[in-house]
Amino acid sequence: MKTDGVFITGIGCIGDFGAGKLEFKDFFDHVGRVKKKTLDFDFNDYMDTAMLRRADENSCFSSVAVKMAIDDAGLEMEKYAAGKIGMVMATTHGPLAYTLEYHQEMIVGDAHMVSPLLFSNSLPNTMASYVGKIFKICGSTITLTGYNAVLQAIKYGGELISGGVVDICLVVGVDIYNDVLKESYQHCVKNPEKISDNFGGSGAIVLETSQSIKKREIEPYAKLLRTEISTLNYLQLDSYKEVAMGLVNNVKDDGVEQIITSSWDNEECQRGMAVILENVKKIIPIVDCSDKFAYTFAAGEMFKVIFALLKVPYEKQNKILVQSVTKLGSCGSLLLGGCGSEI
Amino acid sequence: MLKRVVITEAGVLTCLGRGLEKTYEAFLREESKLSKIVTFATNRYASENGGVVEDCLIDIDLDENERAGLDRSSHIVYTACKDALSSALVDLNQLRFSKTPVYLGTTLGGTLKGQMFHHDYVLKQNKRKRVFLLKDYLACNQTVNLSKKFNLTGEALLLNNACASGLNAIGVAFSKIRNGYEDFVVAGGYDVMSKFVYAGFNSLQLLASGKCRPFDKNRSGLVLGEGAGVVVVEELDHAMKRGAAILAEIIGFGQTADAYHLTKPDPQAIGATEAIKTAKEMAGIATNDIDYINAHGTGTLANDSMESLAIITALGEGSQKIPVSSTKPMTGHMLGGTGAVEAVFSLLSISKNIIPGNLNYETFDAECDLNIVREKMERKEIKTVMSNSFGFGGSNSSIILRELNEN
Repeated sequence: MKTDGVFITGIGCIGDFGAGKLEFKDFFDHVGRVKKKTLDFDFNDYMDTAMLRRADENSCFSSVAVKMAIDDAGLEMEKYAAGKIGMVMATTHGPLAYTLEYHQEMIVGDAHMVSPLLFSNSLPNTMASYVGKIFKICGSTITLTGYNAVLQAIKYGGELISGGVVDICLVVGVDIYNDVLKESYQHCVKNPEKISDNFGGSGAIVLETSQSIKKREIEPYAKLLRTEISTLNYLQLDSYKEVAMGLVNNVKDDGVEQIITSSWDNEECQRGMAVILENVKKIIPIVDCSDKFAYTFAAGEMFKVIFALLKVPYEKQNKILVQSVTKLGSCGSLLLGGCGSEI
Repeated sequence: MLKRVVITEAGVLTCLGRGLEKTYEAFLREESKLSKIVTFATNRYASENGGVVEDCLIDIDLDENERAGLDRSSHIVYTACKDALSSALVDLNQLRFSKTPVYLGTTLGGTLKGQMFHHDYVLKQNKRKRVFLLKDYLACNQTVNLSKKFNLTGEALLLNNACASGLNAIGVAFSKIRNGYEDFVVAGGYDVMSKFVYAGFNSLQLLASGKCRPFDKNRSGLVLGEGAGVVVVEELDHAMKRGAAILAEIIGFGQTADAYHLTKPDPQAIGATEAIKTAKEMAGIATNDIDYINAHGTGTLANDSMESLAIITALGEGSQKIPVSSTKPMTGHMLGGTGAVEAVFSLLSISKNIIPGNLNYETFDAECDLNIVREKMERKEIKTVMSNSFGFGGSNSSIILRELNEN
């Protein structure tokens, strides 16, 4: 089946700010500071965790986010063929806490006696395995890793739907920051004091076809209009300009009314935005999320998308551009549109 | 309208050698290059062998600083990519302007740098220096390194689907081109031998106690390997316009998930069956059109019986007549690289009309009731080949390649 559009119908999020879209909105609109720590969460409050007993934090957070997204979309999963539900999991660092523990066992313990559980839980696709098993997701399932994996995941998820490979696609972003990363990244940035205490968490969205939402008679959050990803070493100024120019068309051609962005550091982010605005020759309000979601990687990237979704007025044809500028020069933009009278 | 998708260039690096010709020669000699691992102590593991790429085969066309900063995995995938793009018909300058994407699959990326990083972290050593080890530890860095090196300025996508990663990367490239999103993609997979992986597979009791014998009744497990396979996946008209030599057409791809277990495959093979079925249906071919199946065939009890069941269930009548072999007794299991490397081997089967032998196969197993090829077979014509890859977490992929039929 080919579809005439891909829509976002469910949101799930759990992290520094709390759990669920209302707490998330409150965090963004009013508080804006880290409210919770990983230890504050009892996952049993959100779902049956029997299958998560041995799981790493990433798998627990992403399972809860997916549960929330499915509930938010009002999906009755059992009504769908398991093979027609897909998932794209995005992460930058994967299950790092277990990876570290596994290395510790190998280094200070006996490498010949390491725990098989730690090894299997250290692989980057472990979160997709847990989530897939819990929610019976048997269609196309992939894990993408990288600094820009969330926008890539949304792009690929949209293609899976529009190509008719799956009818429903869960797209998940997850990363749990920890001391290993904190200490390491402090050496990589110009302003190490900016490394926050945010731990990340997980965000998930549900993608569906227009046919599916018409049938279910639900209101989507937004339509997925376009995703662009390009790569260059943006640490070189000229190259960065080239990357930013690649994003200009999204702004210029599509009547974007707001840009939501974030970057490794504000200075570079602003430099990129300046290139874009200079070329589109118009004033577009920009929300820079760098401080709020800095260093929470795929979780922060998905939170940024969710923030945008909560800002797209459903009834209008407004367009919001979510932009991501990453350390390695992978730059992406996601254009979301209000649905207006389309549905 | 759906596009036709072909593979036009290929590079491969395994313990069998570098490039298609060396690999073909190894097929002819029925040669296994598995040997005792010397880079870390293996004497207390179930196996001491692996398929290790000889250092002399790795390209050193990098300056000293670059070499030092890069993980072995970057070197290996760089070499395979360089060979894939070395054809005179690939204009490297043009790649930059056409925003060529690169999609790679790996299980663990820069795992050797990762081992060093964690070693220093755990023992609280080299605090300032160890941050540089992060540079090529994360797998996404290898993709970006290739992007920079070869001016591939499109999307750099890194897939982590365990042992199905490499084939998935090619499959994603196929899907994107077929649906008209791209017309020229560099895709492949890679992984390197490491203590991290060796100890892990040992802990799961999956290492072979003797020879790797896929589909044999007395099989006892897998032997690990390392390597990379990189191909250019291209839209047919795009390839014809630039006069590229077409190695094969991709006519089907299926990818599913088991949703069953973190490491064990589903013994009922539901997901794997569905992946194979999807690939076959997409290809629009009959079972007896398939001339050869390059199986995932790891040599573990669970995988080989599951894969046999999947092939028989998905392909139905005639499936047990199709010649099947696993090339892992020659190369070892290259994890995320294996699917891409075996896709390149499948291209060789088509271009050289050869079916590599399933080395060490001796005893029939009723749970693997397939037509296992004991020794290499040189045929008059091999037109259509299926290649399967299955990974931890229940990731299943199947691809079908066919000699180009211009009609």
